[in-house]
Amino acid sequence: MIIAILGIILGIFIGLYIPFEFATISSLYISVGILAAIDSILGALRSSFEDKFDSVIFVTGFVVNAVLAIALSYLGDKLGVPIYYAAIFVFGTRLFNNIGSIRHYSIDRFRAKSREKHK
Amino acid sequence: MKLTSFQKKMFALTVLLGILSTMQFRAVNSGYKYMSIKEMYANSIELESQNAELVQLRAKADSLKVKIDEFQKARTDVSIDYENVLQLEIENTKKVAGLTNVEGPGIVIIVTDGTRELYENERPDVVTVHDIDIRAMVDDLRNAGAEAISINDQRVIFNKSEIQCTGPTIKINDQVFAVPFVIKAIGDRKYLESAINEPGSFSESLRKWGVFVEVNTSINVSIPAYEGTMENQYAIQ
Repeated sequence: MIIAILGIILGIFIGLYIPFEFATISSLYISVGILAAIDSILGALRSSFEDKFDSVIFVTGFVVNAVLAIALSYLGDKLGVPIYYAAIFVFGTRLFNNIGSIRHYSIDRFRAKSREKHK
Repeated sequence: MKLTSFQKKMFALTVLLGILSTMQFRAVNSGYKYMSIKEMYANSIELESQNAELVQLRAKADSLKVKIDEFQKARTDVSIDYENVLQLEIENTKKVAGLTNVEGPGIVIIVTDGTRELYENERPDVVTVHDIDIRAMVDDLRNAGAEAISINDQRVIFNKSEIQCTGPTIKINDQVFAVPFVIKAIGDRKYLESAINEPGSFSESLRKWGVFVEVNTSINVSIPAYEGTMENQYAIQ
């Protein structure tokens, strides 16, 4: 958890001082990429709670999801169909699902711990 | 401290997330906006028209500046007779408004009721002159560049003269006239004449219906001033 917060803070600082700026036209793709990143982080957290974390699946999952989402939004932009809604919808749903499972696991752990104390 | 594989990956990904979010934030808040090609096209057209308007307004501003300079000079320079300048302007305004007698080359149109035999069951309306006919002819003359128009020596000015139907007669400037109507107009004689004689003009239809329309050009037409009062009751400066 501390690692994640440290990472975000470091990332924000790098992002602030990087002398490079995205073109406005690509902001749609970046937002889809951000969603993919959040989705992967939460997915990794969840799988670590379930003790099922596999780094190969994690990395490939992130890369493929992000690339596919960006490609879909590009295609949709060219065709005039907002396909990126699909990516936002899927990532959003998974995000909430993952957060839900993480919440369940953390509460279970917390309760188990406090029960041990009371004994 | 030894990091596990999970922690390393997590750290890398969160750094990436932070960078992406910050840069996205910067892009969104830099005052630019994502826009589709259609919107860009519409905006470029809008921009062009705005630029054209800007050019026009600049030209207008320039001409006004010249005028201001003129006035300034007239105010400070003793050698310029500014009273004369203003006098000229007043005269010009009066001339344009139709408050002076004017003379110049132009045309004289005579319009009167037709004399042909009516067909069976035909209404005599067809061959009589109506207010709308006169109005249409006046509009044609204006479009052809007439600088002054009068009907039966009543000056037609642009926002005060009425041409109104009063049964068999027509009321012009609050005075009632019967046929024949003599319309005088000052302007380019060729243009004015062709505005009345041209195929497809309103006068052609009149002639077809049987109304008598005659056009003569003249080197010197004199048109009297507008005689009524002109006071605005509602439109105040």
